[in-house]
Amino acid sequence: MTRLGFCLIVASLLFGIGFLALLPAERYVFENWLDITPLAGTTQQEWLQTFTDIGFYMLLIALMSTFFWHIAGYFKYRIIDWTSAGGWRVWFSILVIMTIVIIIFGYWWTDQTQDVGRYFATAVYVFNGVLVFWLSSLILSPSTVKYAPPGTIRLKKLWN
Amino acid sequence: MSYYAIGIGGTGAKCLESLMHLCAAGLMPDNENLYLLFVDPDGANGSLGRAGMLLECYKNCKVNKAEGTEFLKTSITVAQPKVWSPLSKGVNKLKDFVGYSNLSNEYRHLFDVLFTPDERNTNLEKGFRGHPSIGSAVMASAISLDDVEPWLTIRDRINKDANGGKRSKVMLFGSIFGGTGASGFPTIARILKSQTKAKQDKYPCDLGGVLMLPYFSFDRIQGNEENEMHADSRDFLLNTQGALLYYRQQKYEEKFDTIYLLGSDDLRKMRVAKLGGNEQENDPHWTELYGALAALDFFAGKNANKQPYHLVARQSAGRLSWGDLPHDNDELRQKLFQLTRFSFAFLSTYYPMLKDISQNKKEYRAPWYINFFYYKNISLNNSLNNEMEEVKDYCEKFLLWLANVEFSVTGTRLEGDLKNLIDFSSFADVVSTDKGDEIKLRNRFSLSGFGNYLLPRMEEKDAGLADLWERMCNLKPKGEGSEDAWTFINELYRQCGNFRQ
Repeated sequence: MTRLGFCLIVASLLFGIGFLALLPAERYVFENWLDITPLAGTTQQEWLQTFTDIGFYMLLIALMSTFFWHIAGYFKYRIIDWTSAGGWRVWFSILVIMTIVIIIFGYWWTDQTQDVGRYFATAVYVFNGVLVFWLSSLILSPSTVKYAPPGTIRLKKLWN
Repeated sequence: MSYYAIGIGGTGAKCLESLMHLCAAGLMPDNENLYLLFVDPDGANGSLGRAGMLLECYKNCKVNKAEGTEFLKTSITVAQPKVWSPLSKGVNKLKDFVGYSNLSNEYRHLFDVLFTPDERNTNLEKGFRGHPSIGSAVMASAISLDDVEPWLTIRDRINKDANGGKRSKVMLFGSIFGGTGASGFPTIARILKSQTKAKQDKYPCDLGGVLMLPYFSFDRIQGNEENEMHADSRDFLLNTQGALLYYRQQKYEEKFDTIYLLGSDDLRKMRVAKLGGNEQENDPHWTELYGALAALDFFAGKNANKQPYHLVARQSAGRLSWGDLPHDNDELRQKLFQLTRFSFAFLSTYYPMLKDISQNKKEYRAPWYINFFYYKNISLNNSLNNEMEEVKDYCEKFLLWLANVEFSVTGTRLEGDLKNLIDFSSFADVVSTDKGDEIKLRNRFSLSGFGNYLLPRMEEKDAGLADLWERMCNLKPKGEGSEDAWTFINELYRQCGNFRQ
C-alpha cells in the first residue's frame, strides 16, 4: 500500500476518534461543567447538537488539511536541490490557514450564547482541528518531510 | 594469496592510479589484498605525486570503512617505502653510482665508451631523462631481493603464499619509450623471476606486464632546462622499435606469463613539458584505463590458455565506446556508473547538506540524517572532519580522473552525441589555461544531469536525485551498524546502484 494510502487510513482513524470520542466528551463538559446558556429561543440541547454538528465539519477541515499537507509535501519536496529541502514552513502555513478557517467558520456558524460559550466552542474546534492535523502528520507524513511537524523527531526516537 | 601491482616511472604510476579507481568501484575479481609499489628515482614527479595522494586517500577511506558494499572493497597494502628509488642518498649521478673514481683505467674507458658525458654527469633525481641505458645500469645494481626493502618483503610474501599452496600474481606497469619504465620493466621482471624461490621447478608467482607503447607526446622542453639532458617525444617511436627488438631477442615473453602491449597512434600532446619534478604532471589518459583493465584480466586469471600476447582495437579510430573496453561490459558500466552516481550525489547534495546542518541545524530537512546520524548518536562534526572529508576527497579525485579519461580521447571540447564514454559536462568543465585545456570540477554541479553521464544516453532521469533522496529518507540503518558515518555512506552507495540504466 502506498504512503498516501496509509495517510488516508491514519487521518481517517483520527477523524473517527475525534468525532466519536472527543466531541461527545467535550459536549459533556459543555453541558455539565460549563453549563452553557444559549440565547432565548434555543434550548441547551439544541445548541449542543449544533455544536456537535459544527465540530464534525471542523474535523473534516482538519482531515482535508492533512491530505493537503501530504499532497503538498510529496510534490513540493521532491528534492533535487538540497537547498530546497525543508517542509516546516509549508506545514506551519497549512496549520495557520486551517486554524483561521476553523475560527472564522466555527465562530460564525455557532449560535450565540449568553455567556462565553461561543468562544469556548470555537476554541474547542481549533483544539480538535490542530490535534487531528498534528497527530496525523506526526504519525505519517511524506517521507521527505516526515520530521517537519514539530515534536516528530523526539517522539519517534522513543519508538526507534 | 596477494596481488602485486608495481608501477614503474610516471606512466606506471598513472596506470596504478587507474587501477585504484577500478578497485574503489569494486571491480577486482575477488577479495584478495592488493600490494602496491611505485618505482621512480624522481620522487617529486607530479604524476607520481597525484597517484600517491590518491593512494593515501584510498587508505584513509578504507581504514574504518564498514563492510557491505563494493565501494573500496579491495584492501590495499602499501609497500614500505611507498616509492622505491634505485638511487641512494647523495648518489645521484651515474658516474657516482658506478664509483667512477675508483674504477681501473680499463673500466673507466669502457664506461666512457658506453655512456656520453651528459649521461655520466647528469643529476638523476628527476629521473633517467628518457635514457633507459642509464636506468638499466642503476636498476640492475640497486634491486636486491635479499636485503633491500621493499623487495625483500615482496619476495618473502610471495614465497610465503607459495608455501601455503597459493600462487601470487605480480603485475608490472611501465612505458617502453621513456626512461624509468623502459629500464625498470625488463630489469625488475628478470630479477623477480630469477630470484624468487623456485619450488618444484615452478616459479611461485605469475608475472604479468602492461607495457605501454607511445600514446602521448609533448612539446620540446624549453627555457633553462633546454640545455640539460631530457626526453624528447620525437624519439619515442624509435626507442619503442629498439626496445621491442630487444625484448624479442632476449625472449622476454618467456619471463612473463602474460604481457599486454598498449598504445595509441594518436600521440596527443600533454599540457606540460617539463624535465621532471612536481611540474611534470601528465593528465590521466584513456590508455591507462586499458592498462588497469589488463591488470584485472590478469588477476582474474582468465588467460587460461596462457596466450602470451593480447591485442585489442577500437571500433572507430579516434573514438572510444564502452564496447571497445576489454572487460565484461555490463559489469564495468554498472560499477563505474554506480561510483559516478555516488560521487556526484555525495559532492552535490549529501555532503553540502550535512555541512549546512552542522552550522545551521534544522535537521528535519534531511530525514536520512535523523535516521543515520541523530538516532544513532553519531557526531556529525566528528564525521565531517574524518570519514566524510576523506570520502569527499576521494569522490573529487574520481570524477576528475573520469573526466580526464573522457577528455583524453579527443582532447577537445565535444558537444552532443560526439562524446565517447561519459558526458562530464554536469560536473566538470574544460578550462583554458596558459598550459592548455584543463579539466576542473565545477563549483556547482548541474543537478539535472544526475544519472545522465553514461553514453550512449539512456532514458532521461532528471528526477534521479529526487528518487535517491526519497529512498534515502525511507531507509533506516539495519542492525547495530558502525559508530561512524560509514553505515550511511555504504547505504548511499548501495542506493546509487539501484537505478535502471
